Amino acid sequence: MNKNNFAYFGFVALPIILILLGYLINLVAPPTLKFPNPWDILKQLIELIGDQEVLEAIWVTIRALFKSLLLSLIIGICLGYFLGYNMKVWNSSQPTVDFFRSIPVTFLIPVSALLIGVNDKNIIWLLSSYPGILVMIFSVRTGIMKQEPERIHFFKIISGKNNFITRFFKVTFFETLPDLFSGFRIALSYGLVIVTVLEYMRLGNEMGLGGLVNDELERQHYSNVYAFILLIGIIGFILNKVTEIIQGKYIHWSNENSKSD
Amino acid sequence: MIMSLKITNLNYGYRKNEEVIKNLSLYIGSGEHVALMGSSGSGKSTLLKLIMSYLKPNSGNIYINDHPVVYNNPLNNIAYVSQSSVKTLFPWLRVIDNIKYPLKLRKQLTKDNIIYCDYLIEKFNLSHKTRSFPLMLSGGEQKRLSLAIALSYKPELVLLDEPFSGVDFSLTEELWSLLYEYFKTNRTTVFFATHNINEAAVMADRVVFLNYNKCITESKVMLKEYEDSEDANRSDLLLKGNILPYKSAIISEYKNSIIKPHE
Repeated sequence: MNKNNFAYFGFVALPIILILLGYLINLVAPPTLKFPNPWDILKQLIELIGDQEVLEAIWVTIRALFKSLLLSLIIGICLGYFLGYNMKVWNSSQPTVDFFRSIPVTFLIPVSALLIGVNDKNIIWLLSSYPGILVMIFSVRTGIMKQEPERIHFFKIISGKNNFITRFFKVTFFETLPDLFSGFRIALSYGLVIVTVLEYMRLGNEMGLGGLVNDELERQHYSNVYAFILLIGIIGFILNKVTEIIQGKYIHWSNENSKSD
Repeated sequence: MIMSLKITNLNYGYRKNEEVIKNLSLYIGSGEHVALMGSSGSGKSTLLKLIMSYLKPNSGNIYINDHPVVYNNPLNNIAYVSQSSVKTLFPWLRVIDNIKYPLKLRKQLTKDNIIYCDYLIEKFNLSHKTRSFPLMLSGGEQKRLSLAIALSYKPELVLLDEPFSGVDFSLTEELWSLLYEYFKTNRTTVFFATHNINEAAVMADRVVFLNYNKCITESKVMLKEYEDSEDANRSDLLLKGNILPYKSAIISEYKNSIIKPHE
């Protein structure tokens, strides 16, 4: 199967298979499973997208996601470059970073509740930025470690300068960009998952997509529940695809080792 | 100012008690072209990296025009072409921008220099690839691009690490002549590592060997001798067989340099 066939399979055949599988589950599963007809889910999805309340919820979720990403980028990139350039600081801070990496974000809720309150509208994006920050730190630091030392030295030769700032912006930044962008894509995926989970847990005082899933579940509107889950998946897919296209177009040197010969 | 290179009692090893270069001394006069030969792993690339201050010697000194080379602090007017040229190209810049990059960084991107860069692109047969990015090029094209970058800012000392490996033979001879003429006209000092006897014979004034005991041996063959020949183009000499006696002598010296006494 060539690359185009795989793409065809992923975009067309796989969704059809999943819908057929949904029909099958709907037919054979016991009523207690409450799995709705896939056709009903799709109809509901199309209806819900035009609904004002749903559009507002999408906006709330995406706004929280972007705020959390912005915070992850600012803190993660700064710390990543700082730790990447200071191996002694990195080595001494690694146990702390590993410790925080092991704490699931949901267990930080009680701490945040004490600090800012569970109903504060900022709690969702503040909490969901936490894994993004860790991902960005590791990605940027990996980018720095993967820098080609010969290229850095060559830059000193051709520029006739040995200036750290110039070298950082002319070489290091570009060398780390592929890893930075890969980290950004992971942070984006994590961010959406955590934002919607925290919304589902009724944190903050705004109604996002996660909150709507919870609402519909309480009302036992199962088609709507699955339609919202599908909608979250579609949003995640679109955001990931957009960043992938940007990465492929503008950071074309990402895969330096796959050069032709 | 034309550059000379002086190395005194240089020692270097990547690990303790494993010296790659041992008590090496060498002098290269201003405007001289010297080929460095030796078996694989003899330390040719290491020596070039020490000269360009990429590696720190264990002991000994390197002077360029009587200025000591300080580790990690390359001098202003040298150029280097790496054995694996992709490591010294800037993959986020197009071919044309890679060539102009040193001039841009040095704030010397004048109209004349832009014309000169276009001339280099044409000479190095990269005209059809100017809008490409380095990773889209073949290995030979990347090597040619590296050579073009090295000449773009008219350096006074050029260090080349197997500059023509991966370049196809039909173009190699043309480039030998091009580079030789360039270096001769600009009185550039050149020190280049090679495994190719023809390359050494065409481009160098003399040959030095990094031999089995990690020291330098001077070749007794002085390639400058055929400088006064009627042929202007050095690679013509190669084609006409005029340098065969020189080549034979170099090959014999080269073999002696890599064979250990007990072998």
